[in-house]
Parts: sequence; structure tokens; C-alpha cells
Amino acid sequence: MEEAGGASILKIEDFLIATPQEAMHDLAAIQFKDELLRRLKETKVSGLVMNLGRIDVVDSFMGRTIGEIANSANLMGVEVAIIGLRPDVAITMVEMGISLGNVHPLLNLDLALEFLRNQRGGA
Amino acid sequence: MTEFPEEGVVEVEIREDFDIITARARARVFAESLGFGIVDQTRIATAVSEIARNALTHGGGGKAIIRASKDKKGLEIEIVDEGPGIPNLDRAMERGFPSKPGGLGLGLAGAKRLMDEFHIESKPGVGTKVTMRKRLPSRIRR
Repeated sequence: MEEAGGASILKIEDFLIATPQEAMHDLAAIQFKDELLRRLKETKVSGLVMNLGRIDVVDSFMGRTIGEIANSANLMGVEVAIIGLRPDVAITMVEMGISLGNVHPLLNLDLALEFLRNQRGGA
Repeated sequence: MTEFPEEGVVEVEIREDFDIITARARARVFAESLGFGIVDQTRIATAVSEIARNALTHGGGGKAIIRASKDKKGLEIEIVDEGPGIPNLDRAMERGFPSKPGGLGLGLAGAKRLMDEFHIESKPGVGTKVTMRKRLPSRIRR
């Protein structure tokens, strides 16, 4: 496990699981993005799970940062699943018109891993 | 639930990234103390986050003032900066303007949508003041 901008990044099977910390300030979010993309390249995984369960505010900056992570990961050939988004955060994002780019929202880690395994198998 | 903090005013200086987090966290706690539910707390915290960031990145820093609204029916937040001001307010309020990343558009328009009232005054060379209010659902009002 490694800390990146206050986030944990775990490797399991052929995937990374990244959990940003609560109340990540702007610079920490950028560090998180850079570190995560670096680790995707280094570990050559086929999938990324972003666990957003600790995040209590997704504003336009955080939304854009998560979207940039997802789109960059896609370009590197990595599928991205997100889990754990709090309902109040999801409602607020929809009302603001924030979308996260090409991510697959799933209910929990089990389903996210299953999804990513199937993506890899089907490719 | 705590007493309605009629005299309570929370001020947060916005000088660096981390102050945005402080401002929105204080707004969330204040909203909770007034009886706002979790979804409204998050709407308020997100709106504060957007406007505080504008004050920092476009206004060079400023201040957030959080208080119960005068009519005691909700929460009022004022965010002021002494930056260059916003030359074309109507266009800046349009969603997606300007198209460059970090632009004001999504932030201002988004914050406005999350709150019940949203006023913005901006004078070139003087600064920008945003006043936002959220009303408590009537069943919670005292």
C-alpha cells in the first residue's frame, strides 16, 4: 500500500484500488492524479477501481480531476470502475451537471472486480 | 439539535487551497446545527467550495462569512474578494463559460443551482461579492 496525496493505492490481482481521502485539497488531488497514473504505468494493471466513499464533496474541480484520471487511464488501456459514492454527493453532482467521464459505476468492490475481470476476459 | 445560533457568525479567511476545505467544512457544520439534512449540507458545502475557489483563484483570496439568515429561515453565506472583479457577469454565469479548464462557468452556475438564492456583485478593480442563501424545509423551521 502506498500513500499518494493522502490516498491509499492497493494492488489486487491485475487491478489497482485507489481510495482518495476525505477533504482532499486541490494540490493533493493533483498529486493523487499524478501518482495514480504513474502507478498504473508501473504496475501494468488492466483495471482501476476508484473508491469514492470517503469523499464528502465533489465540486467541479474534484469532478474534473476524477474525470481526467479516468480518461487518462482509458487512454493507457485501463478500464475504470467507481464505487462507494455517497447518495448526497451523487445527488449534488447530478444537480450541478458534473459527470466523471468514461467510468463504470458499480455497487461495491465485489461487483467492480467481477466487472473488471470480465472486461479483461472479453478483450 | 442545538439552539438556533442567531448571534453566531463564522468567518473563514481564504488564502490557500486548504482554506477552501475549511470554509466548506465550517459551512457544513453550521448547516447541520441549523437542522439541514445531509443532502442540503452537501449542496451547501459544494456551493461554498466552488465560490471559495473562485475567490482564491480569480480574486486572489478573500473571506467566507457564514451565518443564519436574518429571517431565521435558513443559512446565509457571503464570500468576498478584492480581486480584479468579473468583467462580464452575465456571460460568466452561463454554464461552461469560459471553456478553459478552471473557468468560472460551471462553478458559478452550479453553485447557483444548489442554493435557493444567489446574488453576485462584481466591480472591476474592486472585487466580487457572492451572497447565497438556503432555506430550511418548513417542517424544520422554528
